[in-house]
Amino acid sequence: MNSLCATSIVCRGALYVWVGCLLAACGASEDARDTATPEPSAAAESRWTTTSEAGLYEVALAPRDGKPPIGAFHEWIIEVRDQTGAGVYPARLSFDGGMPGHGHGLPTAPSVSEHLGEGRYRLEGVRFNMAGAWTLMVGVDAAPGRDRAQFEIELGF
Amino acid sequence: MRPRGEIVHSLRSNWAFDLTLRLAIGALLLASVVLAGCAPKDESVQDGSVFSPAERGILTSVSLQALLPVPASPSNRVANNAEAAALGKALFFDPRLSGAGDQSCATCHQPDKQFTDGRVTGKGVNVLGRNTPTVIGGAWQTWFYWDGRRDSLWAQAIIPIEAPDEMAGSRLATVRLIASDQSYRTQYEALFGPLPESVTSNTLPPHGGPLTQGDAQAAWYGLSDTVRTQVNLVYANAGKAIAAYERTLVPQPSAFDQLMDAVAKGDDAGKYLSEAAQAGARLFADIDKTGCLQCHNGALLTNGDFHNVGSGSFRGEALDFGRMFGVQSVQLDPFNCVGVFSDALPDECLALRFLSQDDHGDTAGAFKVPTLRNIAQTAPYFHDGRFATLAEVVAHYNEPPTDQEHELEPLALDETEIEQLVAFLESLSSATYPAPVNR
Repeated sequence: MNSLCATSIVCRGALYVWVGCLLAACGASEDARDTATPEPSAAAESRWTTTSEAGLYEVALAPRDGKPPIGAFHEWIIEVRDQTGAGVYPARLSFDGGMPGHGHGLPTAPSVSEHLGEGRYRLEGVRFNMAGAWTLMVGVDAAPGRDRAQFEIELGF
Repeated sequence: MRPRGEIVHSLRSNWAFDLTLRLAIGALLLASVVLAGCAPKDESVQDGSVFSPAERGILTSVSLQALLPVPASPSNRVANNAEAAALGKALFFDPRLSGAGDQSCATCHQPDKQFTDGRVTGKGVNVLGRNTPTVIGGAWQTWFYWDGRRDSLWAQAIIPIEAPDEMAGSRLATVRLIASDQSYRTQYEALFGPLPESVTSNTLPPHGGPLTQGDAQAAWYGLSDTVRTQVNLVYANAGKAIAAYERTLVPQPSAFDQLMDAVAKGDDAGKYLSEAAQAGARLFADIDKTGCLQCHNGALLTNGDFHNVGSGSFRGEALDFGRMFGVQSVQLDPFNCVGVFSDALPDECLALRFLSQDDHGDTAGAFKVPTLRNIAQTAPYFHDGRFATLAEVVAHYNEPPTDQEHELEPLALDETEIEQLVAFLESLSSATYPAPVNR
């Protein structure tokens, strides 16, 4: 457990969601190495995985109920695994994003509200307001260190 | 002409849908759009049909076929109550709510103008700074005002009554009217219980509220906290009744919707829309070419959010930063979803719980995306009414301003295509709601 987490009572159970700070601290990379790709799935669900920028984590993003809707609040599951494949807990997670092509961020401020076990976290308050190319960023601060995973996803109507 | 269908009945039948069901329907509709885009051409549509399967899928998603049931309004426990809507309708059209007795909500939100006023910017006691938006479809909206500084229809409705530049009435005068008008009092108490004695005892000052000025404002702050809270509760309930009425103002079918209904049945669709309007619909559905759908999506033809289209005014008399201040104001509003006058549990206030505080600096100059329904009947356009015609609006998107930052990219529409898009927008008009007979 790193020093930042060790001094925080919140690390005992609850999760922080950092608003911007973690991402700024991690430093946005102009040449993010990892481009997330949807995993093929038998179900009609969407799931994206990527390796974090410094290689510390494997991060998966998936809407809780399949294809993400446009215009309605819904939840996602963030899954964080370390290099051994073990689920990461505790962890401070941040979530941010936007549409670089349109110069705007997320229309809402989603919040990680719960650890569901085995490095899986519940993300509430996601609402997309248009189809197109969205960039989603998950900041992770846990025992292996701080890192950031960037996802490029394409949403259709 | 009367609108099609029994509105109150449809509300009663709709409000029982819970959130899960509504989301499921939404997901199905969205899925159907995608499937339509991938599916082989529908056998029922003959060659030469007006739209390709992909266009048909997208256009169906913005037609009334895709309109979700009226959403719940957790902060307003009478939101779907027909008696509340009847009281709210009377209040909406009652000029006695204004300071001079000559203006009502309907002064600016006129039924025969699709609940707008046709002015560049609204005019109450004084000329206002922004164009008057429609009320139709408000039940599906999350934010109100061009800057979204209120989070419910009822929290919005109680502002203009007291605003000095608008109706210049007051909450004290409003609750006194409800207490003294026997019809109002009977309706109010049947819905909300007995009026507090402080309101019925005829001891309140005649006029006053926090938004009023001078003696009226002093009179308000001269009341005890307890009495002010009691008055605020009655005033909020009046707003909730007005909201219940406004929620009955559901969008009515347009020529475009009739076309899409015909397309769905495989009927001859051409008779509902001109060739130009059909071509405009195809342009509208071409998200890569026009991008209209990015913000104007769903059956209300708005995503209900805030976007910067280069219309902010950051200097001069018309200074208007849009959402930047609205996002702060809505959190401070004592009548918001998490306030003491709300009927919602805090967890139900999703829009406030997950309100974007804007780390991105992109709320300055962002304004709420208006519905495109009845757009040809609700000129002029933009938050400040700067454009008189739809052709000017489309021209703005075709060649967006170059002197400030915004989300737009220039389009490459020629004059014919602009005319076609305008023809499509004109096909979104519907019959107007009748004004009440007695007032």
